[in-house]
Amino acid sequence: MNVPAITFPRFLLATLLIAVLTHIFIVQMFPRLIMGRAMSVLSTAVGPNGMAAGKRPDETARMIVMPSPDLLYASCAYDLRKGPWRLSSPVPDTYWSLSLFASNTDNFFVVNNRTVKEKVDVILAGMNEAPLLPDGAILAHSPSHHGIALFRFLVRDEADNERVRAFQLQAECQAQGPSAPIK
Amino acid sequence: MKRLAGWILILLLGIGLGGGSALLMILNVGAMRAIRVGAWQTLPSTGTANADAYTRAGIALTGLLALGPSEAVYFTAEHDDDGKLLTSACDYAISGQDFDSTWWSVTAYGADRFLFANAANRFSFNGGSVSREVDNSWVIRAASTEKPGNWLPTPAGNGRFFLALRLYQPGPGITGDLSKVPVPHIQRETCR
Repeated sequence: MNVPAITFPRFLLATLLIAVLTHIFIVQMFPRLIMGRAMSVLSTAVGPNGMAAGKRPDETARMIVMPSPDLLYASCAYDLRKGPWRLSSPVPDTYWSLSLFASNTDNFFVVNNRTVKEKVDVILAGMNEAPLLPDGAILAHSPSHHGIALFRFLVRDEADNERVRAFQLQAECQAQGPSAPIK
Repeated sequence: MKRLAGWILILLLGIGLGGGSALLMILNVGAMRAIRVGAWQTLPSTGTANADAYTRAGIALTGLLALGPSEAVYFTAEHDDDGKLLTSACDYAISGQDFDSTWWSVTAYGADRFLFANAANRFSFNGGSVSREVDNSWVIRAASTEKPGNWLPTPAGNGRFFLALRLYQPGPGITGDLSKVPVPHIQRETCR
């Protein structure tokens, strides 16, 4: 094998080129790697409604950094390759939101207790999908096939915990059948 | 053979330099992109499609699943008002007023950015749970040993900790200019 000689300009150029490419690769891939790990963990923690819905975070909550101890969370990892997903929950009379995060961590969709009342029903689909919408449902398009849906329920104080938890446990995250593409 | 070993060394050197510089910039994204207000800082493009690659990576590491600024604004503090690192070896008075938001909270986290065990089983105060002064202002005492009033426990020992201020459903008084948000003061009191 004819391996070229290492001159100082070659050493400098090759080192810099590899360093720049590695730098760009890591910065670009880092959010996706972290999200991928979070989605993988979430997938193993889902309950009967398709959601991971734990108690209020305390020192034992180690899944996601900086959890808020004032919130009850319900979350799921979605995969839109086989069709849309349906996300629903009753809406309490306290701060509440459903937020959707793409695989690069972007928060591309939010509804909260100001924009919906009593119950929310969101159909989440890929960018080129046109699923049938149930009455009153909101359509959301995800920029990536994979991502995370996260419900937040504010618990104002300990006395309110069980009441709000009843709302949290009714949150649902379910894969739907395939839908027709947009024509 | 000697030349091949040399090229492999260059490859490893390039990967090391590129990887190290990437991690350094991700870990210090706050120094590059954050808006500083008093002892606090916030990344204005958190959660948005406008965030650059470094901000996305930094948020993924330190605040995954953070909401965009129209829904929530997050400030963090690692220093007191005088620029000294927050440490459990000292007690702090965190003082402020209500904010132009639906609700707010101040939470203490350990150096690993997770909640930590404490005797009071308390991790935060919010607009509903904090006890107020006559003029509606409030003072939270962050300390590792029990304090009267709004005691926010800090980790046992002398380790570092940091604070997060969450402002949910912020109004124009917050989103209009993040650099003018009336963030709480953090004043160091006694140290051991």
